[in-house]
Amino acid sequence: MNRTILTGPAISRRGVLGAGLSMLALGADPRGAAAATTVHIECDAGQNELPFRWQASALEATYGIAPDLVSLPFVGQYEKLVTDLTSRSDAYDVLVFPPYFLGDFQALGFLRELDPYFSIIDPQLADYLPVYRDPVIKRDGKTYALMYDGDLLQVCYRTDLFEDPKEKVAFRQKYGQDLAVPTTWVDFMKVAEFFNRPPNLYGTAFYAQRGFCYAWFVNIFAGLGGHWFDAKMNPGIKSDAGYKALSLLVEMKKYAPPNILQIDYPTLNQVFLDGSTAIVVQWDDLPLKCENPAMSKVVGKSGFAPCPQRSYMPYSRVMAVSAFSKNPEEAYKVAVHMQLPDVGITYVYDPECGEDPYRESYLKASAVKNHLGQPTMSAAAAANYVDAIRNGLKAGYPELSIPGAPRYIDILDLYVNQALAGSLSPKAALDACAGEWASITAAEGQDRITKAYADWVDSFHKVGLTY
Amino acid sequence: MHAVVRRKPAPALSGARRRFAWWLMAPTLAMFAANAVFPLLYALDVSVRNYQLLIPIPAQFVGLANYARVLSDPLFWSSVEVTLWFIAAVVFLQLPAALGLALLFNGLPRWAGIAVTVLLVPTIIAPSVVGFQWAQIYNYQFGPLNYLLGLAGLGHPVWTASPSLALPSLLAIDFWEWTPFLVLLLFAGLSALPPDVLEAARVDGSNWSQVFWRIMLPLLRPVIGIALLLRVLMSFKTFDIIYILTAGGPGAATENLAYYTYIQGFRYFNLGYASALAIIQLVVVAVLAKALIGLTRRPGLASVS
Amino acid sequence: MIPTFGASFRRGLRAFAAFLVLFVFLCPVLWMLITAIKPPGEWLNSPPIFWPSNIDLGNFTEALGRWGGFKGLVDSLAVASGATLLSLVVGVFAAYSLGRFRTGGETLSFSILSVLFMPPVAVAVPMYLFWRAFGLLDSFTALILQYTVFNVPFICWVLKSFFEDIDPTMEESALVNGATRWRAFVDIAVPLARPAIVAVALLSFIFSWNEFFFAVILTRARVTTLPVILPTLMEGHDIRWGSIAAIATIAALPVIALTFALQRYLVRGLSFGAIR
Repeated sequence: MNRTILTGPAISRRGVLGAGLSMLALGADPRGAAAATTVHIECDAGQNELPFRWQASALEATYGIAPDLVSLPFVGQYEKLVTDLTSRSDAYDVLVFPPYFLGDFQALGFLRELDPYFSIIDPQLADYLPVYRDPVIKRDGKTYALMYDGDLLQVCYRTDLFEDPKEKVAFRQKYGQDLAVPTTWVDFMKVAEFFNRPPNLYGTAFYAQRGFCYAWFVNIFAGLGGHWFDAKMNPGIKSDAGYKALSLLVEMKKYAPPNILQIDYPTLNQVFLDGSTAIVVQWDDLPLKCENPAMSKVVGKSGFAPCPQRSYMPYSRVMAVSAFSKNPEEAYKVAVHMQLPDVGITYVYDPECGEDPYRESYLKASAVKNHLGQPTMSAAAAANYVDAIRNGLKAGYPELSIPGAPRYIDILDLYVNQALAGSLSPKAALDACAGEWASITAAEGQDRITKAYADWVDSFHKVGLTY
Repeated sequence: MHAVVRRKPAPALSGARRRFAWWLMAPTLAMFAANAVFPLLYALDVSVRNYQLLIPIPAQFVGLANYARVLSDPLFWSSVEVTLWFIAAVVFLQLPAALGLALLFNGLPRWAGIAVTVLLVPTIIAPSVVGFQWAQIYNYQFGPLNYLLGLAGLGHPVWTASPSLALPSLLAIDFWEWTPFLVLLLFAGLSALPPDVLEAARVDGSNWSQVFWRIMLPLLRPVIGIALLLRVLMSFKTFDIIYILTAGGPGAATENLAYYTYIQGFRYFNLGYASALAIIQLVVVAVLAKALIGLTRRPGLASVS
Repeated sequence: MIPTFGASFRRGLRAFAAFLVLFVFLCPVLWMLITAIKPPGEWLNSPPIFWPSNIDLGNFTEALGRWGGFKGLVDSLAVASGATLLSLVVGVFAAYSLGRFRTGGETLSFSILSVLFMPPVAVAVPMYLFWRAFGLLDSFTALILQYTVFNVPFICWVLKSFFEDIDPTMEESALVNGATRWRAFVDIAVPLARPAIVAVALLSFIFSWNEFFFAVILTRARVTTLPVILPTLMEGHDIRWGSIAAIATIAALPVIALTFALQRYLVRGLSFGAIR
């Protein structure tokens, strides 16, 4: 709910009063001198707004648009958007949100179809990676969003440890196999156990807090061959793959720092960046931070790889035009501008923000630069990083994006969190969750949801992706 | 509130007096009709429907199904348990501590009032500021608390993330935030005690504990009643520190009734069920209020007042 | 009585105990103040830094400017003063009516009081729809009126017993001397209840200044009070602890200052007329 006016004089440290007064002046006249159209952009607060700030002057110069950023708290974003959009609020023109809201938002008529605007500026969708081009942004053959941030879970490991000859010998002696980047979850557990030498080095760490711990579960679950639902909408988590995956995640706590239950996104970054963890699964923007000397103690000591078997694709961000916007055309221009090949490239590899690549043309080592055009890692690291993304996406497992997805996911997160906290066994947690899922499906309408899920799965097959 | 009504019978109101009295009430009544009666009737109506804001299916009348659902909803019962913990902490920890502190401060010389005001700082700052302060204090790695515990060799708990410590951590914040308020109320009550009664008792040769149990406590009963009434009913509303510090976690360990209702209403948008939860809380709160108000009745003070 | 050594020792012990209690209770607040003046490199340190190497007021500049603290301050001030003034007018009227004339009997008294205990979540959804129907979402009006509804019951409750305890003969003799009921109320009863009125005004201000739940639900970009800004900053990968502490300090100081300024009314005003 913070509002920041993007254009106008930058606020420097002119003292408390000066800054305050200039804010007041800007607040009084957000349009500034030129008669630019103000476009209200909703985005979650923090690092993900930065690309809009960087592009503010370009938007003003190219389209005469004054972008006005309305930041919502990350945690309450869904609640806030739903309350405002169900009341047909025109407070937002451009909506930035994760695709798992898209099923709900499209079904409820919150989003404007974008295809009619393609003639104004071509969004160049042919260059999108297949998973984003169709399943993520389209429903019933119509486009409802454009990509802003392509997310993927990825393995980051310490090359100095994995390539240390002494470690290799010791690992061989203990497990009877070579020390290597794990390609199965069984091997992942061995590596985590092997490197767990508290308090100076921990085997692994993961997001275990309420909010996203489900994603680390689904990542393993998908790797073991699990699926969200079967064709009749029976919950897939109530299965051996589910129980096994959650048991592995609970077991992983043994090889993690003692504050594991408190670890969230920034903390997970930090325990890898400060060199205290051997291998982690994290969103694919961690490598950018690894190779940034200002943020990291493991520059040049990190390797990147896809997750074992499947790589889960939690979150991501898309840009959509609100159905209640009074300036849909200007809103479209903002959205389309931000994802044009030349513009997206300026932020998808910037370590300061959290955006990740979504275009085929971005997947080359030479593209790994920050928004000022400076390379952000060595050529070798960049090649490794881009390969890891490409291979991860080949076996990417998509985040649920049907109507009701936010409810299915939040309840899953609650139960995974209970299992991690030890208040329920993995089996009891997943069985209880499956029960809740069944009642969500019943409430949403069994037939409607079954069809929505079948269509969604089908959209992956259509572009030649395994689901 | 009727408990503190004076003993004199109500005077009969003449026409002009009655009109004047109702004119003065009018703004309050208008506002309450819009902002208290309307929402209640609305919630009552929604609570008997399967109204889900996010499902484009018309809501149907389901009778008491939403109310029946709580019986078999384990998350409801665990949230009741968490709520009861907050109440128990008020009654068994905050109130006795506040009584002790009020006595301690009451015996101070001139600056007792200032000291109570300083103590009041945790109560008057915004709950979201409180949440931020404690997020710092409880920080696993950089927090001063774990640093001091580490020096004393007492380990490094994860506080709000620990299944066993999360709820006690929040109860500690609640204690810190609200005990001072109780101290203020009890201190005000102590200051208003007739000094001659206490003096007379002391002259009688009663010792301190006799004076406390036989004279002070009975005289303080109405104030203690008010303090309990306010705080017990307020603890149903505890929301901000949960929202900011634990989001109800780990698991559902710190989800109280207010937070659970919020999740059902504003995250899942199950408005029917959330309204039923709200109505249940209102009934419980109203019944409790009636009962606690009994405690605030003034004892017979005819001989001293 | 001549103070003995034992008595003055006990007094010293008592003062020391009181001092210790105050210090412990103030620790979290002090930690926030210290963080607010720490330079960026010292926010997160292990072991923690107990006093900054140099005092850096840049956090306040950043908080007021970049994070919208100045707008938050102005908006909070507008909402809290508006709600306090309106609550006082409405509440004092009602309290006098209840206390002096027993308007509506005990039923009305209890109904008004029960609003005080209404859990906010219980009414949040209908109130959201209510304000939306009037197009007042994200407006000062909605927030001020909403807070007034929560303040009035408390004001009524505290002031009612005050008015009951004021001897009615003074108002009655004024009436005999030709004053209107209005003048008797405004010129005689209200001034007598002044300590309690100041106390409830202070508490109403504090409540409205601090309120979080309805501010989150009812406002967006036009109205942004300080408590709502805070949690939005405690997210993301680069948490600016110093600036958050600065905003938190800006949010805390006005109510602390006000409370100290009006300190002497608090104790007198909150004795609830319960003991006399």
